[in-house]
Amino acid sequence: MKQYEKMNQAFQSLNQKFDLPEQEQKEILLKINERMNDTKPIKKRGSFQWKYILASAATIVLLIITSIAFMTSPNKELVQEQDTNPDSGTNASTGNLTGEGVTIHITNNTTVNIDMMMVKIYQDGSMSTSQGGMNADGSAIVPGDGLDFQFLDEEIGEGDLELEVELTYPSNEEGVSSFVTPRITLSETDEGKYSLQLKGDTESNIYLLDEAIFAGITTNNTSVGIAREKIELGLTKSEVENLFWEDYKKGTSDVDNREFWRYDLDTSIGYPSSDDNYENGDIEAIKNGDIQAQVFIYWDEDNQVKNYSAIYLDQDNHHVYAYHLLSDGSEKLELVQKK
Amino acid sequence: MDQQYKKQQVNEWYHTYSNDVYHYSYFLIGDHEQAKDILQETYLRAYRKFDSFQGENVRGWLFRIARNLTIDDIRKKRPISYFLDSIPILKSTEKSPEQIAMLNESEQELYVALSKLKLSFRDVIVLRKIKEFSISETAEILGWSENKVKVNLFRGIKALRKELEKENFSHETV
Repeated sequence: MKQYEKMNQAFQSLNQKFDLPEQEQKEILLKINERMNDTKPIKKRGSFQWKYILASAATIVLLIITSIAFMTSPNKELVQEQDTNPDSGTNASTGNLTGEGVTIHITNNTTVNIDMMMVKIYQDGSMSTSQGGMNADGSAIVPGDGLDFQFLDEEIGEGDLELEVELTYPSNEEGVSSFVTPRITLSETDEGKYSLQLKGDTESNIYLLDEAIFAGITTNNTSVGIAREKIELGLTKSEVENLFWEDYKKGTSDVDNREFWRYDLDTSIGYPSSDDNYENGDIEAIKNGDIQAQVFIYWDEDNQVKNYSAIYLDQDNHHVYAYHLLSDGSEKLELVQKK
Repeated sequence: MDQQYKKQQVNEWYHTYSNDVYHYSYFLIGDHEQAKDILQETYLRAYRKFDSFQGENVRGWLFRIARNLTIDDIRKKRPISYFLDSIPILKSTEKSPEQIAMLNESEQELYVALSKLKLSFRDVIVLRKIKEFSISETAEILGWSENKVKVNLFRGIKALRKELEKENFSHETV
């Protein structure tokens, strides 16, 4: 009993250490009140307009300066605004930075037009730099078009790069003015060049794909290769049992109560341990080779495969990945843990 | 209902519960900036949904909103955590955010162990043990039965102890 009291005290002591700083608390309340006062309470609309106005002004100025060059070139150029310090103001510059560094090409592979992209790069959880880009003639970045963003070495330090893109849309009846994509971790590259795609078919559901990871979806793992060959969406439970035997563990997702089956593929003797609760992916066992892959199959209401995920160790680079076959038939690969 | 009254109420709720809501989101997601965004969105959604609030338990209602927003955020930004409910949200225990650095050693180890638990365990532990909601309040926030809350809390605490033991945490409080 005494142990539990002490544990409860430890939790309470933890709770008291995480208060939001007073200044940040005030700032958030200010934003809430601003947005409550907005007659059209649309997500992030108010906070974004100044960027759009600033970018438009920068575009006009740069258009004048570079008009001769544009007249002689049939190719669209882009205008970028760059902010290497998140706390400072935004400096406009043309997108012709030279030298080494990092180049990120982002292609609009969505079905929507985009006015402006603001690339934000994070390292160790904090934004290290950001850069905005739009077509210099003010036209929308239409599906199929792309922009290059260049960053100098001194803007980006050592370590993993995480990236998100804030998108601004042309005014429309739906009232969606901007959207921030989910943040992704960029794959390693020797040349500092990244090629990303924006995917999605509605303005409020756009996501980034790193082509280095997603192109062709190579899963360097024999067990996952077999799973990919065999498992298709819409298979029935008995069909899956015929493919992989009945040696699965049944579970229910606590997040949304969906039923899933877990298959441990190519396990070593003695796995799983007796305290396995059958609900977790076992990253440690995957890393140390006790399991080649764990496959989680999710079922729809007709007891057919809705989607599945496989966690595995890449046999080449020894990172742990999660491969997903989603319910719409698309594939995703996600880096779970580096070696 | 008068808009001014609604705004005033939201402001009062903010002064009373904003730290609570922020803590909850932060413990679930492990990211200060994201937790701040969720805090802001929680109060805006409370304002927009003001008329649907039945006036019973404001704190629980705000937590329900914050949970929905947090899970939505996890689903979008860390799909593996959503799909499998098993991958720790905190990506690296070596690189501690500023707030974690301010914890003493045993608090830090407790926090890291907590962040290694699967989402449903972490969720129920934060609500019951850190935010001190009753079993029935916790069940309502999570949309679970009271029995499921009890079972998951038991398993969650067991898993937490195991994590602490893994770290060789000679923590006499546990």
